[in-house]
Amino acid sequence: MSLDLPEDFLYYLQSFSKATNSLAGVSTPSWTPNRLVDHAEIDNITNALFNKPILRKPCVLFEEGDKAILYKDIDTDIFNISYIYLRKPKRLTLENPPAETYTNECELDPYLHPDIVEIAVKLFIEDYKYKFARSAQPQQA
Amino acid sequence: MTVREMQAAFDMQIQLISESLAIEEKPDSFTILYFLNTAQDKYLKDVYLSKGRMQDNIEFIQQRSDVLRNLIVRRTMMSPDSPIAISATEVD
Repeated sequence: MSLDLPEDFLYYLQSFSKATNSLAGVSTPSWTPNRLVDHAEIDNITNALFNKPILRKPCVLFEEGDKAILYKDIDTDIFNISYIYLRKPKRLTLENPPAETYTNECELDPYLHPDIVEIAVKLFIEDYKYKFARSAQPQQA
Repeated sequence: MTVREMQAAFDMQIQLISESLAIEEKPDSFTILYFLNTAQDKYLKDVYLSKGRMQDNIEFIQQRSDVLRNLIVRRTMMSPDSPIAISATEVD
């Protein structure tokens, strides 16, 4: 099952599935946390030598490009998925925000704002130094 | 801090670093906004998403969820009958 992640998705934090499980006798859909797995575990959750694999909880795997896949076993039926994630901060603008993804006020905690300005200045200075160094290089004929 | 206040703080720091830089290479608003937006992204990446293992990053973010509360979102995807349905495929 592939999860369609929203455009503002930055980082996965946690997810839950509202599911039933015929093997465990859970016939009323109930919320259960999904387990985050990595690629090393994929073989274990998708293959079993003689039987179908049994997953105690649905498993979430993230692939490159922020693609999320939810694995479940044959006894589990999933009705809803709830997930918690860190979203990208809105773009800063001086004008009236032209879209929902823009803001006139930094969304990070106010005490971090001076740090953001400091990082921005450092990045600008690095860029300026690079340009300065390039313009100072003697031109080759 | 509003974006305008951040821009003013940026200008002031540039001025403190170098008088000539502030006058000769004074960055325009567009440039300042570019660097402020890049700084936001860099801060999140360097501080919260640089622990190596995904699980470590998640735990670190969850411990500091009060700082990032504006950026933490919960979404629910509905059942296949819903307009924002997901397609289910079983693991064979």
